Amino acid sequence: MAPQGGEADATAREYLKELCRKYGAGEGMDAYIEELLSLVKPRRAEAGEVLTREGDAAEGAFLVVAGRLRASVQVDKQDRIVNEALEGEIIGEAGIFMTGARRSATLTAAAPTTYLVLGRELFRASATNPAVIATEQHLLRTLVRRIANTDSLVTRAWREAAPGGRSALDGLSLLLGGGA
Amino acid sequence: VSPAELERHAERLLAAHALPAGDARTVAALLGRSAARRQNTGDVLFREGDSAQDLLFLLEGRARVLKRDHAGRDREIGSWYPPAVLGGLAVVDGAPRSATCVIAAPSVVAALDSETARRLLGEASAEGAHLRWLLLATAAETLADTTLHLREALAAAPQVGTSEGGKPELDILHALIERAQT
Repeated sequence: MAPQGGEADATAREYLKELCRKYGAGEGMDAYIEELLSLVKPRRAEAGEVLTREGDAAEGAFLVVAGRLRASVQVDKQDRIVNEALEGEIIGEAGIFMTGARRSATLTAAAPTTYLVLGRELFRASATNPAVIATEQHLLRTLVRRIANTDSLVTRAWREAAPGGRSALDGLSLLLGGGA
Repeated sequence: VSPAELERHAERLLAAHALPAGDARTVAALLGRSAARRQNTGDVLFREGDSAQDLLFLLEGRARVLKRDHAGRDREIGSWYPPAVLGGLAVVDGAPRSATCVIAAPSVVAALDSETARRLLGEASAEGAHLRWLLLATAAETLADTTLHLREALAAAPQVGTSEGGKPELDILHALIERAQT
């Protein structure tokens, strides 16, 4: 495991300051950011380090502060890459909002990576902390963007897959388009 | 819709989205800010391509979801049952509605206007926090269900590859699109 602490803390602190500015929380957020970081310790992983494995209990989502995480699943005993999260992106969100969820993929650092593990306790404890609110807004926008991108692709596939008939993509389209 | 009914709907919303720590009275207050109305079968809640005017809570009844097919005809792809949050994604990112929603049985719907919803999303208040949690939970559930469907697609298309430097999950969908075209 990579050394934790100093460097990861400083990287996360700067990242959260930028996040607060982006979501209009303004300046003077230091005390709020420290409160957030007392609840969520920044961590650092070296390239190739496995953070969690498919089937593990899902407790929290991973916010990439710097670096890159890769999600892979086993299909026919072979690892298949199904997603990557770059700086500012979030992965494993089911771990926050779905009780009893299991990891649907193995997460591996694809480069030296600093990240935060966001658990539901954070949101319960600090609903009025502007740094937490900015993090929640960022989380929401990131998930919405992912849904919109996937919906756009699924819709295209759906329109071309089964003109006039039912398609296996109907279910996906409903899931994605239902949020509309 | 009476305050007691709103609180009952709020409890169902929290239970449906695994938010046991949520406060039903706060969610009921959120629903109270919304215009709760009874809708008849055939009423159109919104159309694909419309700009997002409000965030909708389907509290009773049923809504059909339709999308335009390759020929521009509306085709039903499924239904939503209460309690459901509809149209939240378009409110967050300001994108046009990605589907049409039509009432399929006598229903109760609460509509929170977009401007109020966006203000609450950035607000340090209990209502703001509950709205963020409801939308986050809805989005996380959507993505989890999508992952399950994609896993099934992956299993059915083991030869699908990924391109160098691309986003693998999107590559899988691109590959599915290519397969659909052949």
